[in-house]
Amino acid sequence: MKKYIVCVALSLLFLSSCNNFLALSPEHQINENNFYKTEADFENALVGVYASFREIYTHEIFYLAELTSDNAEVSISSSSVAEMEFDEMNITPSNTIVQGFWTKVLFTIARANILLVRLEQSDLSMESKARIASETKFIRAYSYFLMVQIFGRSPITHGEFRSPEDIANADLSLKSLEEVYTEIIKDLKEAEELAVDDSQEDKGRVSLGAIQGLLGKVYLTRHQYTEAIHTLGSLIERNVYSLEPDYKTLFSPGNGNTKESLFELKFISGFNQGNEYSVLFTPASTGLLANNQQGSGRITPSLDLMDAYEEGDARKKASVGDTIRPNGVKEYSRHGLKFVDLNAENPRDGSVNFTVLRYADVLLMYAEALNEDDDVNGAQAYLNMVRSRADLEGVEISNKEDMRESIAKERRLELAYEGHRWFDLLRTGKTQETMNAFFVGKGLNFTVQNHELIFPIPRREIDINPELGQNEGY
Amino acid sequence: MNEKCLTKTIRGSLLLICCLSVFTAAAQLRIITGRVLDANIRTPLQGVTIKVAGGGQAASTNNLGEYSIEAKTGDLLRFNFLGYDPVEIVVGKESAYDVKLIRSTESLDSVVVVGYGTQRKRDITGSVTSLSPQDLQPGPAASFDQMMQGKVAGAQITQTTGAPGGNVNIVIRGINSITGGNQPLYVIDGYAIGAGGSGSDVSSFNGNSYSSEGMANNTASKINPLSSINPSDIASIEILKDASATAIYGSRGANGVIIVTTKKGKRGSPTVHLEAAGGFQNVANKLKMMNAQEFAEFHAEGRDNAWVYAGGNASDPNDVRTGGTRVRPEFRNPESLTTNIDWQDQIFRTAPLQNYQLSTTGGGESVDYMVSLGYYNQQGIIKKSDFNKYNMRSNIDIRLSNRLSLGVSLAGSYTHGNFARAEGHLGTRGLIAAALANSPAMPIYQADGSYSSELLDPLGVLVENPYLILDEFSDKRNSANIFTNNYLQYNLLDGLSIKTSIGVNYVTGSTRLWKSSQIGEWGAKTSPATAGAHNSALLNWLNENTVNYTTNFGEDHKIDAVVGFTAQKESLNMLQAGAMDFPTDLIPYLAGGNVNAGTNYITEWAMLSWLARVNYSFMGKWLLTGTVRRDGSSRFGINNRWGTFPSASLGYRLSDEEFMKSLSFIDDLKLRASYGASGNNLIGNYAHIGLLGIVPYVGNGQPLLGVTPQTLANENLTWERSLQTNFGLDLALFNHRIVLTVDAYRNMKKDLLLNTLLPAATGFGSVTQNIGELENKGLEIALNTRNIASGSFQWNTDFNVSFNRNKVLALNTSSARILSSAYQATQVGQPISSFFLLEATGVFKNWDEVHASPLQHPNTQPGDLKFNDANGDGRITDDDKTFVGTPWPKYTFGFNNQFTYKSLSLGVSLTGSYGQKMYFQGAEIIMNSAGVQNQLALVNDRWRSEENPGNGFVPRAIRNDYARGIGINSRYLFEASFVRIRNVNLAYKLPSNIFRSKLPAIDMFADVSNVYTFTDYPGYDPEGSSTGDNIAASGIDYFSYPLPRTFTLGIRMNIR
Repeated sequence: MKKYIVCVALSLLFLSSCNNFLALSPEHQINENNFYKTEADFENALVGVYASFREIYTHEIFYLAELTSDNAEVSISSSSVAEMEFDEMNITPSNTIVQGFWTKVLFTIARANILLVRLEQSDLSMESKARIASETKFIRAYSYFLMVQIFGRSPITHGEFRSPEDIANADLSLKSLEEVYTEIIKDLKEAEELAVDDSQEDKGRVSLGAIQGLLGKVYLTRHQYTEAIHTLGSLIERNVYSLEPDYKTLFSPGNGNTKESLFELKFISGFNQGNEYSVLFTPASTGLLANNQQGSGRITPSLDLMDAYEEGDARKKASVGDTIRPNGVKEYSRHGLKFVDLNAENPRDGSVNFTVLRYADVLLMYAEALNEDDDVNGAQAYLNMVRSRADLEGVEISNKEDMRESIAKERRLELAYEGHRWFDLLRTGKTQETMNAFFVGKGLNFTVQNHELIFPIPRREIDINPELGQNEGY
Repeated sequence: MNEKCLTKTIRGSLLLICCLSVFTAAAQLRIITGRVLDANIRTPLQGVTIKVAGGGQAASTNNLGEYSIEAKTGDLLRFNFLGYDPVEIVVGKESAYDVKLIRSTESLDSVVVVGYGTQRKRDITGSVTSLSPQDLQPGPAASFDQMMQGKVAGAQITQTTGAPGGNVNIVIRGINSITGGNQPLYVIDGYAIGAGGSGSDVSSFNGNSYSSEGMANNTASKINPLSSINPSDIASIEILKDASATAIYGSRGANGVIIVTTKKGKRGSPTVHLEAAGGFQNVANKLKMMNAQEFAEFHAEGRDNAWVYAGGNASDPNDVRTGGTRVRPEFRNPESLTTNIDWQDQIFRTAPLQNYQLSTTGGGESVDYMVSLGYYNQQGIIKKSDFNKYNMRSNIDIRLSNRLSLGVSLAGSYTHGNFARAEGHLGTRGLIAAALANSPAMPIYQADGSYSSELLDPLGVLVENPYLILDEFSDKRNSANIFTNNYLQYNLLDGLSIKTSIGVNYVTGSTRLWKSSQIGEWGAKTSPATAGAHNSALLNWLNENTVNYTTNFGEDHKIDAVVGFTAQKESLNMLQAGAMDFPTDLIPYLAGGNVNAGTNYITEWAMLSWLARVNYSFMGKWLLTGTVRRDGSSRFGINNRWGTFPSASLGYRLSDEEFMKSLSFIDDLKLRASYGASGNNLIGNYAHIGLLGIVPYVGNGQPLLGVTPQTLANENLTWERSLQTNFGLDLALFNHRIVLTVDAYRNMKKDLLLNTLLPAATGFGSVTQNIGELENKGLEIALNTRNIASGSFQWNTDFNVSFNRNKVLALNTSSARILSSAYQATQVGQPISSFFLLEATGVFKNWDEVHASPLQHPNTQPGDLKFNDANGDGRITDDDKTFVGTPWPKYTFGFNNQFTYKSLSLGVSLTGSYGQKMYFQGAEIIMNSAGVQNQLALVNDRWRSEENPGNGFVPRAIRNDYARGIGINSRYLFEASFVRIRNVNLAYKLPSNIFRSKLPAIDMFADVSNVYTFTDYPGYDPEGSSTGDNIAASGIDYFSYPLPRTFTLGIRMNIR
């Protein structure tokens, strides 16, 4: 009987400490209850936001901004359906790459939101708060800018979601283009104000220059030329950035923190922290990459792009190539060279950093804004700065329309394979004209229709929330 | 109770036995004779032991069932025979006694193990299938689960891989969960060890071997955890199927419960059981591939068509063509090819298998024991793969006093083996894919003796030589399992006992992976060498405390009750590491390289439970069972951490009614009904907690770690609830010559654990929530008949068939579609994980058909695949994906026959499954018509021209996927119905009179397993699935390791 009593007593003892016995949390993982306390925590969370943003640049951006354009085409026969849709400009709501882009961009925004909310609640010093907030707002603004250019609309969120109920009660509807741009400009202005450094040594971190460069780009995209001139002008006047004399160094291993870079995404090899550009932009054949490795042939340069370079343009050699040597025998096969590391032991683990914003872009944007503001001469000066670095003669143009065309052409060649082409075409209203001519040139009966200037909302999102509504034409 | 005390007791009992012997010796002994027969079929039973109670004489029956033994009036004679209920008779004045024994399995008084106790078969009111060793497949097997195939109505048992020691899936009454696990709960000798599965989905195994990080995280399991239980140690397996039976396991019962009971010691002189078997295996079904000539023709055709598509002319020479459209010059003249290799012959082999078992059972007044040893060794039918297993077990029960007893169960096992890189795409060097896709016209070796390969040949098949893959990759694993469970039981009063038990299950596993630099990826011949190592240690402890009470009120009322409290906790400690940058390939260990990836973590769960059950029987005719369990689990949110799972069932033995007595051919007729709730808690350990994850980044040229939110908290998270209704009927006719069990059920699953997709704007992809409902309903019939039972020839049949329909009733939104794989989706109104694909409806035979069809690709032409415009918008896009079948059979059956003629017996087992489909992912390679890799011979029936359109199913050969002929679509989805001759076993019982000594029972047997499979499925096996125990992604075959056909010869010996 005694034993029985002991047993029951033991059981009761267990029960009294039940809740402790059952309250297990993972010791190997950070949870939201023990994080967001110290400055180091916030620093780590900020790195997390950068890492999220970098995800957009693993491959999606090159499908959306290069493969859609006249710069690039698929060169393998066994491409995925999603890839073919880009190549043929016939993008459907179920396109997995568009879905990936949507998710990565919005994840970045949501993570920036959490960081900003938690930062506000923290007792970090004003100085630290300002610095972290400035960097975070830049990333958030850039993400919204990508959203709105691709989809024409975007959800706008500010809060942190802490339970399924929070999400059920949130307004996740798609806001209009105007509202999104208001949000972007507000973020960038606040970021500009809070930015402490004019220029940081580490171009992987957001600096005042990056913020102004992006703000200028946003104004330009909105055709607010006065504001663009003001913003970009003050950036140029500060004289912090300059063009690298050798164009090739911008895209080769060891390209970190150049004078020309405003903001870049960092990669290194050997730590599973490299990029896949060396595979993405090169043909699915041996004879180019080291160790008999193959590329993928997914985003290879079009003949149209190859032919667009003027004689003597120093950029061509650094940007594109058309000869490979499988088994030592010369063969024609076009490939991109920017950010490609031909000597990488593992081409899926490339070490070349990706420059998101650079000074040549700023100069060309400034030229564009000046020209649109009827200062053709002013524009010419900045355009020629970029041309002269490419070993090209300066242009002499007095006609605004001709200048427009020259700037557009210069932008295409200067910034090819850097994720700008589609957006440039959109901004200058030349998408359909350019692309339809491109398809005709290739003898293909594909076209870009009116509605295709804005991408479809991914099907997954509409399945989850039918009220989002699909973009017109899809 | 110390050792001294124990010895004393044993000594005491020995003394007592001596005294009794002396006493009996004083009485008048005489010879008692008689015959022992099977009660039903009236055949003599050979080898029945007869003992005089109290340790006197012992004897056994001869092949005529006759015995003779010395005894005196008043003696108690005990008749024991394996598989039969024991019988006792008291010796009277006569000197001849004929005895009839009743088979245990058919006798209603036989005992069935249920959760936390046992019940007489006659009193069972739930749906329980009970298997005895005779029911299990007789040949040697690595684990008991594969031996149950075809024997259990209501259980779909699938061996997804033929890899030695590999995975077996058991799904009881249909797939139950979309996101949670689907494995039943396994209970070994009362100890709930958890759900079987251990993450054996190998579909991305190879792809993960190219970086140190991938190697560190490549933890797909390849050893079936249930192989730690030695099949020879098993005394019975009970499968609990309805809520009445499973609710006592509460939150873990919803997928069914499998109770394994191991053999115990029995009072009596020691019996030694020896078993030895050996045999060999070969691949049961080799695929019929194209020969060199057919392949050459196909290769040229695919490239010519691609070149013509690109604007060229089929007669153009190579130098004007683009790379992918060039044709090997010698393939222009197929007849000239001399080499013709079936690469399957290069990777498969005939492989030996051996199995040795030694055990002894016995017992005295106070101690019963069962001690066993086992060794099992199986070489794989794929070269360089093997599996070894060592088992030990001791089950010891000790009676300390009349009221107090204790028991110790101690089992250990050690398994180790080499595993093949069998599955997956040839690009990531899947061995089987490499063998099948390789050019049959390529010799194995180059002139210099090295392995040849066309990998770097722009005109070749981009595939590595299978021999190189065999040589340059290794996967070595071992696992040790120590299990001990100990109880102390005290009988407070007659009928009232308390029992407390404590047990520990400790499982360690270790894996060592190595990929040398010679194994590249896709078109790269080489890639940096990588190595990985994983060590896991799992500690699970369980304390159970129960009180049992049995009593009768008057003659008619009988009550049997149990209440209990249990506590259980599990902790898994994982250490994973990966290395790269190996200076040489000489050292295939982490130590040889730069260890730069890995992790270490501990993940735990804990559970507290109260349980109770009452069985009430009125006149043995009305039977009522009520159970309830209350579980608290660490896996769920603070708001819903405790749940209660009740059930009730009623049985009515109609055959006990007076008005039925006149129908004397009815031995038993019982109606059963049950209703109850059970749960499923198989989700991750911390799904309710909001977690942040480490994300790598780069700063200042160094790797840098950031932190980012990963999962959304959900403090309301709780178990899936399964509400189950079951109606059953048990019928036995004509002296148990016909025994029928029928069960009909409906399981409603509520609060499904779903990874609800979240809008991306929330920053989370999904959250696990309790949303959704699904239903499984079905019918199970088990019919055992003794067809012929005349004299020396007998024929018995066990037939079972199970029908199940699965349907999702609700998800978070009515249009929600959950993708369980690239090929499967779950949607309201459909079964879980139905195949959701672009539906290929055939091949365009001519231009008229192309023009008459919805717009596909602008360049579609005859010979291309035709698709169903499912959404009717006049265009073929990915939005036309539609439901085209499920991996779930409409019905499965088992049909087992046993023929016995005198000492010879023949068993033939068939299993079958009808109505399920299998996505043959491997066919994306060997049926893709791309003009690149070698193909199944059936691709010879492809479209070649309007005049020669083939079978209307295989599209033209073309090295271009514009027409979606190569990529994912329903043409790789196949009917996977089959009928399998699972086993044929011939056994011969040696007549005992050839040995004068007391060696009564020697059986010799010859066994063939996986004899033949009738199926239309074009892959190796219609059950083979590379997704392992990821049951919600069942039915995807990416060249799963083929099932072998096994031939064994063996001997079993019982020495008394």
